[in-house]
Amino acid sequence: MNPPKFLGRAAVNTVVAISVLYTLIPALWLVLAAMKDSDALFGSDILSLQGFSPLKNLQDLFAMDKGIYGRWYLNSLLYAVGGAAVGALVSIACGYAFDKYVFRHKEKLFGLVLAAVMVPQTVLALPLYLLASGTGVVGTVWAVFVPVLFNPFGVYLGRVFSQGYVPREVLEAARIDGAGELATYFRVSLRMLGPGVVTVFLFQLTAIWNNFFLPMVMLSDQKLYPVSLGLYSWNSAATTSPEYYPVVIMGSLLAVLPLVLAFALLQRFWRSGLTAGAVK
Amino acid sequence: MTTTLARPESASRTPAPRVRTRHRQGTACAVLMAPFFVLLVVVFLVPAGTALWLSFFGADEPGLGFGPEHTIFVGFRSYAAVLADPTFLGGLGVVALYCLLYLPLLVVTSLGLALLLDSGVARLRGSARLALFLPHAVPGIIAAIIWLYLYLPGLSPVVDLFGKAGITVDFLGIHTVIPSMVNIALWSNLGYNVVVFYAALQAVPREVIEAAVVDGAGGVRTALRIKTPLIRASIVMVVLFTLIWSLQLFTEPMLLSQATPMITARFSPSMYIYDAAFTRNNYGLAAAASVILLMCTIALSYGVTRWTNRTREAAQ
Amino acid sequence: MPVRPSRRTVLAAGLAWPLATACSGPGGDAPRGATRITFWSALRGSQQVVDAFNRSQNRIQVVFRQIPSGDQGGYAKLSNAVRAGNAPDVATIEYPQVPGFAIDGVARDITDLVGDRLRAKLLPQALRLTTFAGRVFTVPLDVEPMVLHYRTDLFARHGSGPPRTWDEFTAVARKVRDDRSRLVAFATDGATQFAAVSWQAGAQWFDTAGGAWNVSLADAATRRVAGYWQGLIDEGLVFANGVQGRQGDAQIGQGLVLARLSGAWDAGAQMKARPGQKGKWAIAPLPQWDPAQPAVGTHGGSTFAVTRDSAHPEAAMEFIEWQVSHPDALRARLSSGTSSQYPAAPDLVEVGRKAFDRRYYGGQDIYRLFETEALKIRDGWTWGPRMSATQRVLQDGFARASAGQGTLLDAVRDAQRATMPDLLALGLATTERSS
Repeated sequence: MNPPKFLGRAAVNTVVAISVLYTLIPALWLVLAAMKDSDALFGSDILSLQGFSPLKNLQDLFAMDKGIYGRWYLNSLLYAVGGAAVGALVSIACGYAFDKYVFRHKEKLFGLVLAAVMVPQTVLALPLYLLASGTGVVGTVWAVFVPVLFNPFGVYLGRVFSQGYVPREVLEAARIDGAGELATYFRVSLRMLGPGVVTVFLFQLTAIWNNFFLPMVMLSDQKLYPVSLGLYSWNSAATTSPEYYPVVIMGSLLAVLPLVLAFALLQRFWRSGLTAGAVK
Repeated sequence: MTTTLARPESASRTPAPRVRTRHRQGTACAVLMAPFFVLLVVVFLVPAGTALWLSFFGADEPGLGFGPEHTIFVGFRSYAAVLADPTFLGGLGVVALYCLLYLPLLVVTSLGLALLLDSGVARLRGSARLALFLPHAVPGIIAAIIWLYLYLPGLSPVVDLFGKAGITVDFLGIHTVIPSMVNIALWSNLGYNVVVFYAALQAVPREVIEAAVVDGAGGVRTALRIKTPLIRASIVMVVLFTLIWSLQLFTEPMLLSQATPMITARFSPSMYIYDAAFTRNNYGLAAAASVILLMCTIALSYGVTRWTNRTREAAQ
Repeated sequence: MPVRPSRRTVLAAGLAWPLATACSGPGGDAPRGATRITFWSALRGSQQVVDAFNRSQNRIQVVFRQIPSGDQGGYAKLSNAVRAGNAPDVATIEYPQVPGFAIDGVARDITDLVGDRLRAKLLPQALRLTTFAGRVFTVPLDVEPMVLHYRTDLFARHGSGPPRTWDEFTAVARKVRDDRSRLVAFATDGATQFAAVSWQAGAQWFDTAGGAWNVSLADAATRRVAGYWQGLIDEGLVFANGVQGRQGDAQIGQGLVLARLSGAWDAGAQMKARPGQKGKWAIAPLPQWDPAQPAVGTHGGSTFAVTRDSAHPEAAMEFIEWQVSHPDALRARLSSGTSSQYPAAPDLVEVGRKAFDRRYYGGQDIYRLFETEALKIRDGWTWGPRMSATQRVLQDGFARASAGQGTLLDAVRDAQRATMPDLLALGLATTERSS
């Protein structure tokens, strides 16, 4: 009645293997294509060693258009790492407050926070642009930096983590000890929330590094572009000037590295974050 | 060993310790929440309100329009213009088709993979999950670039391979462009959802599974009849977030539009909004379209949650 | 803006920036008491024109800024600048976008600033294209009748001469077709080309009669033209693809298309882009529907506007008048590189003719041809109030038609349906004649 265990096992492992190949092969292609020079890219077989010139491609990447790629990369790091750090702290603090304190209309307010998670970014980007225009910050770093600090999902996660990592007793003990609320938060609770902060940081880092619509709307000066927008504009130039293709590819490879590194090094944090998000 | 607080105070000068503590708590709470709520107002409420306001006020150019321009209350005129605009309706249609293709595919494949990984039969589960998760670390625009180059003849080894076999395959043709975008999204999000479902599956109590096995359920039946309903909440969450995300379709078509004329400047509702604001220079139109998109998002979210609640009650 | 900055524009913007800041320094070279006005343009040679103007007098100092061409972000920049309150005094706007910018309040009503002297210097057909409801909004710089550019060598190989009517055009198309080449490529990214041939046939897409915008994109003349080209496409006699990308480039570069239908300016552009094809091209009048009643439309061409918020409209107007009618202005512009721009001021044609190197076109005096063609420009054509949007939707429809989904006429009808919402959203008075 049941098919023999061996066939079942083989089938399952084949399916898993195919899906793994599906996810890995495009990434592999990126790595291989980044190693090839311009002619080999269009001409030869992807697997051949013809035209192997990763160093030259790197050189071209950082030399193209007066070295603007380096600028873009730094911008992305600033927006993403800086924004995620500040944003995570802000969200966690708020989530903690939702968890540990009681006040009127608390759940209604939390409902507002959850509703904010649902609102598409495109709806807000245009009015944000007009506001930024009106206040004169459009086209500056702030126009891109401030909006990404807003992370309502981080507040939700913060509340969950606070519930899980910071027991009520710790707070009460601290209160009896005479420590101020904020002092308790910074010296005790935050430390216990460490893994939560890192998780929210990681999620926000991904979101900001990914962010495309907002910088596109806000920025017109190429020097302020994040890497995502920069590569997009190079790709549009590539249709008329094919010398852009190799640098877009190498640039894409480099742009992937920070997030991959972050996830690899901080694995357990996002795992716990996903669990928290999934199970609730 | 705690030390007792405070010396006796004269009641008339300072409030009782209990009230003072609550006071302190209140301030601390406010301080902790303030930065986020300031952001909420500035980055969320004010822009949302502005979008609403803009959609009801617009530039008015009566007659031939060469006279001076006024900004007046135009009521639903912008909304009427958007809803009568075949390119906006076309965009909604595109996104609907996209969702119809993408959602079932994503849910079935990621759930299926998660179940397979959980079945105890798969090898190297940890490595598989790690590998599958990789695309999540690839920013959306880069994923789109990678796949665009895998679709472009001349650059793509896939197209070359087919070419050698004598088949010309066009991934960016008029009928293939939407499935091509679905593929990009699937590649990007498959692993993430596999991990989410897998984590949810770990929370399923082992006794339930063991009971089912004892009852004689095979692997497949356990997976489908027992495990899946128990992680219903996760499935609903995945569907909801994916739906909301899909409605905002912007990055992939923007990138692909550089390579194929089959993707127009108003291909998706988000592109329509962008085009209305920055190319057609009509903020009222863009705002009205934004609000309509938001309404659709809310309606769909509400619909999905209501439907799942109803089926959950029916199942119980 | 779906930014498509070419490497050149990125470089140009990067290079022009220090120039612009140098020129805008306080005092600088500006003589005391001179009025300073700012000028934005994407046109080649503008810096040379500005320098020549500044040298020629000391009452007005023009500060120039190079911007990307209109559909590459230049128009978006202009609109944003107007909204932000720091628009230039003089801006460059192509003909199709003039009514749109006039309605948006970017281009000032300059009817009273354009004196009779300037009016007398300009080709009436050109000035009428920038006049709406009796008000003038911009001043034409050049007017570009659409002509037929063709490969003499390839035509000779087939024993053909340039076709004089559209029937002959079809016949020639049949004759020259082989497995690799065609007579022309129908430009699926060329709404202005399609507009020009419809204009020639007598179409009236927009008009302002009765104080309202009357929209009828799919009128009888357009249907005839769309049907004609659809027939050519269906029979496989012409290519149907974008002509501005690499595919279009390759088609011309490799001789896969024998002719092009575009404005007079393209003669110079062709020379610059493909010097290796010297001596192989000639220019002929556009084929006609009825040789007894010849007509042409224009393709390309730029005009100058004084912006509404300009603090020095008279000075701006003086600069514009100099640019469009003074021989030194054209000489300065041409000094930056080859151009076959056909001036809207007939007196300047001689300057252009003298400066043009005829060897590329086998000695042909193309300016004489342009002169006769310019007189055939059909009067009465009006561009629409939201032309950029209309053009884009039209091009999208053409692209779909070339992929087999729908016909060219369907694309035209879709463009009309998609234009109306923009007009409605602005509260413009409209009537629609659909067909």
